[in-house]
Amino acid sequence: MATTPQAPLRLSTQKALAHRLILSTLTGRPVRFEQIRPSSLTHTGLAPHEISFLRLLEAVTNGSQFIIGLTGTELLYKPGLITGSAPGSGASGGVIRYELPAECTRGVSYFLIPLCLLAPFSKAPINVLFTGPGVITSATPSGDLSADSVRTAILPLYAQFGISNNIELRILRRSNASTSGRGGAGEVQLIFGHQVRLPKTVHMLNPGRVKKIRGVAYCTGVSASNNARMIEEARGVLNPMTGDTYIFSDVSSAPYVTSIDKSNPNRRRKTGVGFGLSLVAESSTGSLYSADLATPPAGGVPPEDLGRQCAYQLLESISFGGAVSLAAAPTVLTLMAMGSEDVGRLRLGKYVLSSEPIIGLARDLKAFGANGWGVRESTTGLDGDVVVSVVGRGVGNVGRKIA
Amino acid sequence: LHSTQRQSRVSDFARMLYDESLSPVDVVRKWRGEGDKPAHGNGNASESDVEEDEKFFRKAKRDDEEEDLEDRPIPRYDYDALAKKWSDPDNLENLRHRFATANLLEGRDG
Repeated sequence: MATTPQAPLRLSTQKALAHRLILSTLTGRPVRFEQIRPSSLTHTGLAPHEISFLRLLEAVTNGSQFIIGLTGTELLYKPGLITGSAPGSGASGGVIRYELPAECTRGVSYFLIPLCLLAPFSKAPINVLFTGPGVITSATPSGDLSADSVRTAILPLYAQFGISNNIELRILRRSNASTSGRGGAGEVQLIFGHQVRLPKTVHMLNPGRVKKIRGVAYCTGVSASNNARMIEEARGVLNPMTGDTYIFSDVSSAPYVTSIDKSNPNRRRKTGVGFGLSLVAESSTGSLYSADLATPPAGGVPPEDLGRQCAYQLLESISFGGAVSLAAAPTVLTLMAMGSEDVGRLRLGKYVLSSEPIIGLARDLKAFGANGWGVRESTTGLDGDVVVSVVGRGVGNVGRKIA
Repeated sequence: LHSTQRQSRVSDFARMLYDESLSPVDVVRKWRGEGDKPAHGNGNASESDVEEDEKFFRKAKRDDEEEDLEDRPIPRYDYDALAKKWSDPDNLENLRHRFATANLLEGRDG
């Protein structure tokens, strides 16, 4: 880290901002973002969830700096060391309490997935409690996964990289997006206690066959019958394909937030009312495919439709093929790129590989100094999958010198 | 003869992957637009017309562009199209080999 300061990498637009910040932190390369929503009339510059993400980065690192331009359309970020929830850096009792403001429109997975990518390279374990009026644990209309899917479809992937101990995601209080789409007052705690020097090189070439489907139907502040109706329909779609389907039902009351109304500060109101479904298909070789759907903030979707649509989404995700689904591919590919200087191979569906975020990720990784991917046709199977070879960069964990 | 065509496609993609003159959206469009499968219900013929129009009136689609730049871990699906696709027994049968319930002894028509 004591090398001569590098010129910041210039990137434009807010695309994949969180992921690019993570890459910057992992590689230690400063980065400068330009043209962040320059032409938007209503929301120019950085959005509330992006600011929150920057503050989260500041909380788990030491020495990070960010400078935001006057208009908010420019951002300079100089990464520091990833310290995690070490004592003396804002953590009390080993836990960082991190509050999300009510303006946040993205689900908590927007913060969880990138934070999990930092965690294996942290100096101390990461233990963050997400709380406050902005925590939405459900899926959101902006395409975020639910916290359940992060727990059941993203976190198990870390085991393939030899990162498996003491990892836990606790959903302490559920919440859907509130009627305006902003905030939800849920509560989620991420404990990521396994830090490594380098993630293992992986070869995921066999997607296997889907042997079981698990899911969580959740509802907050509405009748539990919504869960039963969603599960009924989802099973109706999935049962012909596999007999081993089990969907849990979780019913909770809606969280309260204190009123903003000054005249009556004691009045509390309910937020985050709604329901949703998270489905995860697991294959014989441990590949995971997930689907997520929740009620839109405006409501008006019957649970039957939602259950059915979520099941269709799961089938679609399985049909894309590959050993890793679209939602999990950025996590896996980033970990592979950060691994030791050895070739790892990953089988991806054509549709997954040729999706916009993955192409963007390939270019970002290269811009941050990782090696280019090799892409070739998969020789096994008839699905027309593609094998991506990723050579690790061998950056590893600065805080952990001894292997 | 099928495999040679596919082979060239993947190498095409590998070439375009790091070609900075093409935006990721262009790469997706170029690669998928070869008739492999229309990307979520966009017909090929009408798409090229729309594309030309968009090139001509560049300023007009500003709001759409804003939307496209936001990250979406779960893509936007057309659920009516999905419902149609997955209530078709043929499509379900084609997907069955991805499930453990598939009968491995019966040969699949490749």
